[in-house]
Amino acid sequence: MSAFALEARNLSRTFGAVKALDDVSLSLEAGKVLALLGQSGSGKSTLLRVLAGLESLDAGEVYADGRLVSDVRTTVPPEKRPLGMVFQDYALFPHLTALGNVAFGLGHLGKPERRALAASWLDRVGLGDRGDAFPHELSGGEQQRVALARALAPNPRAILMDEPFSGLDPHLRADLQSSMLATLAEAGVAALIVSHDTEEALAVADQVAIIEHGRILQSGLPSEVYRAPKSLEAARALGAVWSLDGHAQNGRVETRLGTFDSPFDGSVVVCSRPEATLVTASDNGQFTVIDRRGVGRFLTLKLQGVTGDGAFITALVEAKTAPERGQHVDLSLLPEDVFVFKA
Amino acid sequence: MTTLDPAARPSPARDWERLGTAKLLGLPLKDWSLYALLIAVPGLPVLFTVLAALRPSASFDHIARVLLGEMALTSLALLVLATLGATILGVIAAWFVTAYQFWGRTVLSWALALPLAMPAYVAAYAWGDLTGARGFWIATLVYVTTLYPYVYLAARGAFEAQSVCALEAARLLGAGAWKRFVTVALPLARPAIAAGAALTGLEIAADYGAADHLGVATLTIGVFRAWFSMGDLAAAARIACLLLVGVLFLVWLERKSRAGLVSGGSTRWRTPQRAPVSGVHQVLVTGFCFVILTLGLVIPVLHLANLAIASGLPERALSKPLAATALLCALGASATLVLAGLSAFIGQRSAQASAFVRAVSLAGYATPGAVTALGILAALALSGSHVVAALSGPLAIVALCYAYAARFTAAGLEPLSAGLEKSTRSMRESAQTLGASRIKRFLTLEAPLAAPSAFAAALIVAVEIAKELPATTILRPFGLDTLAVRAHAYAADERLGAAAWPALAIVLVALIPTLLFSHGLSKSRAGQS
Repeated sequence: MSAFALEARNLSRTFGAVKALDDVSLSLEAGKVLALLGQSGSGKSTLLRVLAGLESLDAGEVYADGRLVSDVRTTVPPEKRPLGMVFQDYALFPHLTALGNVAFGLGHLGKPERRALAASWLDRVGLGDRGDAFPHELSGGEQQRVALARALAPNPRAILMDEPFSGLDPHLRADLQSSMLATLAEAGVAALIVSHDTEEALAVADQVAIIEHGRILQSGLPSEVYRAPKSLEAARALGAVWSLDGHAQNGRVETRLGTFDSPFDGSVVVCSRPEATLVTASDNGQFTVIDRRGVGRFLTLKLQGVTGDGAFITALVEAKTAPERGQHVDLSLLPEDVFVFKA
Repeated sequence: MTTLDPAARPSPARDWERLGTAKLLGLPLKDWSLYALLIAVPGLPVLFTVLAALRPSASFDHIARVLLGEMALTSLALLVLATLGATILGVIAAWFVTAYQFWGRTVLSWALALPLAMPAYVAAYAWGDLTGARGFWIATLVYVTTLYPYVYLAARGAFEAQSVCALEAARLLGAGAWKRFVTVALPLARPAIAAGAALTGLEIAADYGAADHLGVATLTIGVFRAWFSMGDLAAAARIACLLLVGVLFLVWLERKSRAGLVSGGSTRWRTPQRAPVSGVHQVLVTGFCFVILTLGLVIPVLHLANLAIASGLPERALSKPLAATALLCALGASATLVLAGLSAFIGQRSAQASAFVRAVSLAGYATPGAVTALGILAALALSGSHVVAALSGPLAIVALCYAYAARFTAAGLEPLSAGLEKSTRSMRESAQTLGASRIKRFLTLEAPLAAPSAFAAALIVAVEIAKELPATTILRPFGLDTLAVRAHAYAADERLGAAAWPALAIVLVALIPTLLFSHGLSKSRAGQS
């Protein structure tokens, strides 16, 4: 038995020669949002489809509301799972009105209750007056909200969302994200959001999981993964990083920016984030500003050693005090902002 | 849309694996049995025709000595000449309406497809009477003028879908109008033109009515004579086998002519800039299009209408045949749509399954109606039933429905598949995550979305059945005359005024879907920009 709304244990799935899922485990708690981050082809869509029951498994188990719904032998069909799903293209039924779409999953109720419940869900997503509109008459944002209401109306224990904001204008996203979070919190339902957009994931997630080549690289609180990534890929998934190659000896690695502790000896990658890289202008500085970009309060500097060799380093600095291009600078880092990984 | 997750893209191996566990409307069915059923419907008549051909025949030696060579040569010559003629007319007309702006273009662009509603045998009654001529050349004229729309529609579709960029690039490279047509447009449209020409050839090979009325001894006529005049099933089956070899060759030729061609170029669609034509050229272009439309549809219709009015409506020329036609259309279309629906469902599963059901249904369509009907007779004969020249009662109707389903599933499959595709995979999966069972998904999602297409499919199939002559003539129960059968019987007695009534009724009925289809098609094109 498991207490989670949805739990995946050691899932594997192979398509021909491609390992789409490789020993994937994760769990969803009621009322929490888990963001699954990964590039195209990382296996995140396959994971979603396996959880929904749209794909079968080669190994592992899926539990929904404590009940085994998928293993190697059996796949409980999607219609028998207490799960909702919001598709990337929303998949609204073109021949039904917004109200008809939301009422679709409420077949167990009598007609008046169905209508009333569907209407109340449309109200909750702010579309109470659009019930008679057909999908093609709705804007992209409205379609997205109808899809969310439709998935939540049958009262699922967990809801799966495949790139739910990818088709929308950027200025719409923030609004929709906050109203979606409010709706999810009100419904007390667990949510898994698949995304390739870090900012979007961090904007909505209580937990993140990073998937690459069908494996979960790391999962946990967003701040935790941001502060203590377990690999260069995991570090990159939650924001920009720069990196230097180095060679560690006796638990120490020397770089142009100083000497840092290393858990390994041998070839390593030393990396940090632009926002943790501190810049001080100095005529004898070891680095040169070769480019500065951006508008507003912060600028991104591109830096290289004065000798002109070695990797580039990026730093995020306040615009007011930002050094000019060509200026020599010194760089420093707090030890807790430096990550050292095996090369 | 973002790029597809390659991991989520199913592999072909996975597709075939899935076929083994599929269910149909919730019924678990072994897949091989479904596939076997789909192959059996068009396949069994052919198999039994071959089996019947292997049995001893009393009259085949005589036929082979005296008639067979001439029949085969006549069929081949008609096929080659008429297909060539129809292809030339169809391609030229299609190029005119897509590349040029001339007087009457908008109307002509859909009207040029209307001779599809004119069965060759109906045109044959009119042209035979009008010219007083019989024989090979008048038959060629009839086939060319009634069948060019198959090529016209295919070529027009291909020309319209062609990337304007390719033509503009050719223009910038200094190619004149003729050179652009010959070196760019025509090669790009070749697969479509070949497909249209193949359809034309199949129609000619399958024709019984026009050849019979105009006294041209083709192989199909040979099948009829061996069966109806000599009562020799084995001889009829042997001639049918020869006809099948010809059809196979035609299909092979079409496949071969497409090989090595890549389709497309740019998929972006843009209204082609039509070059205006004026003066004497405009008269020639408009005149050309107008003349082929007139020859294919207007003259036969007017002449038959004239004859019909002059003779008056003969007793029972319309009401009983209309009822018989309605009965057979309803039953035959139902049987055909069940098979087409099954094929469409199976075709949805994977690209391979889709290619399979298309190939099987097209094989059924390519088999001439006379051969399908003869194969069913042969099956009944081999199974020990007492077969007479005219079958009787319900057995005949079942046999006819079988023949219609075998032949016209292809006509219904196209619109039905398009209808099923209106409910996308994510819609179906969405319904599934909302708790809808397979049956509920079909009833609430797939069926309502596919309903207009299913209606179109029913209409197209029903009209094909109403026009069908050879299989209906062979298998119909005694006394059940359809419009086509009655018209042909009157025409055979040289009672053309009487034949004109049921003949025109067929044309009128057939015009409905032709108009809807052709007009709707050109409108939907014109609406894009």
